[in-house]
Amino acid sequence: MTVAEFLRSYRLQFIGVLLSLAVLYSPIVPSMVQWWYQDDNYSHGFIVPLIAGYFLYCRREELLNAKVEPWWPGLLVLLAGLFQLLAGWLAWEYFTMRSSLITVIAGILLFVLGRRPFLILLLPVAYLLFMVPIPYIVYDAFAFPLKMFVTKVSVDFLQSIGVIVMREGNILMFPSTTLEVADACSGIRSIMSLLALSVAYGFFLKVSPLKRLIIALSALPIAIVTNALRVIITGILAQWWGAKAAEGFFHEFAGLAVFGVAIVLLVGLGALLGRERKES
Amino acid sequence: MNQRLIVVSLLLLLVASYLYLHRDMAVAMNRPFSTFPAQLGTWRMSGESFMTETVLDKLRPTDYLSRNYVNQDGKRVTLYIGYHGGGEQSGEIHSPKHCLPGSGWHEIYSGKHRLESDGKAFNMVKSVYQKDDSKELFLYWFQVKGKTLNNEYSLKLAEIVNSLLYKRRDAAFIRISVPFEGDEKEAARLGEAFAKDVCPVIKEYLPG
Repeated sequence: MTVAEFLRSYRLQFIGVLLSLAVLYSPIVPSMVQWWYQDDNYSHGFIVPLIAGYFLYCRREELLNAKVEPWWPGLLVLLAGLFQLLAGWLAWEYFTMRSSLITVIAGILLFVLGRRPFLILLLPVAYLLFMVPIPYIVYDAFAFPLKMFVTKVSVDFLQSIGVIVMREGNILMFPSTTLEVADACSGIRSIMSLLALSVAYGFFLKVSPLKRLIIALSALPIAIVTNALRVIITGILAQWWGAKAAEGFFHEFAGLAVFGVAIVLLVGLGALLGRERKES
Repeated sequence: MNQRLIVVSLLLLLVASYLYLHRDMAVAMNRPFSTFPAQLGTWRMSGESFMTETVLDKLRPTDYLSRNYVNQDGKRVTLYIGYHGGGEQSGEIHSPKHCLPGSGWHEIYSGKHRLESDGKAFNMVKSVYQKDDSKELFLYWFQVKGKTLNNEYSLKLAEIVNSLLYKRRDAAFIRISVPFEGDEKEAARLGEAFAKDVCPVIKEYLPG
């Protein structure tokens, strides 16, 4: 029996599973969506399910024609997912609660449809992980050193081109003004969004798995470099214009421009890797 | 009929019904912090501060207290107590381990500490943080159902156990801070002396 036939034969029961899943996650998912809306670091949460849906759409033929071969160990994965949900619920730990949705879906797919359909759906399902905000403990653990690093690199560069600037922690001191490298400029915000994008982009490019991995991971250096660039440009402007350069509209605009540059770099890298492949 | 689909639905609904039935109750304090004494042993309250709306929105304590106390020599300590009663409206305790570095303080050292007061032992964390040139000694601990805990994991564990057994998730965070310039030992002595005076009083306010 193929997945298409399976869905046709057991349509009502399949809808029943979807409804049960919706009921189970109704206390959990809405607060996550609200989080995407409130926290600028997670605005990309909204497009993650859409991209996952598109991945699914791309492989729909393959999926519908795959053979259904139920695999009972999937039940253990499902139980593990439900246990994860309960543990997260009792501990009030959002990441554990929310990410259990992905484990539960994986368990259901393995248990009901089997390994072949599961492998086809692995990417769209795993991709959903990007929509779950990581715990702030983890976030801060990376954000702080990253912020220091970006500040240091930027100040070294500014000094080497003759800008008069001193650094104290993540504070930049110019003769006319002081600037603080905030969390937003540390690159961590861009890393989360860029990683979600670069994985999607890597998937769409017809390149080898290794190159896909390179493209996906390139999000890290790209985010750091572009954010250092942002701090450097702000620093140069601050020397000419004073504090105006780092405030209000310009600051917002710089954030968007930096993200734009990051995407250009990402696409450029993709094009480069893609071209090499054609030549060989 | 596909038995597997039925089994999956039943499992999901079973867990869902547990989630719906298992809600933590909000636990009230014995007395509100507004009645917290202004005189504690030889310590006299010298000021009180209040959090801004933004901070309150983020932290969502059920009740909190943030006061300065001075001793006879005019030495100052700051006391913060945040009580989180559990339930829908209550926020989580934010550990200084994550909060302080986030606001520019970096840890110089941090270790476990035990203090005797009123014939009982209190577990706490003793730590020193620095921001720019100012140093501050912190004594802090978490208090859950009358027990004092000095690490985030035992706090989490206590919360899970209490939620599972008693449907309650109330916990308090207590922090005593002493700003100092050179003499760390003196700061520690002040902090501990204050802790000894305040510990028995705090107990009267928090639910057991």
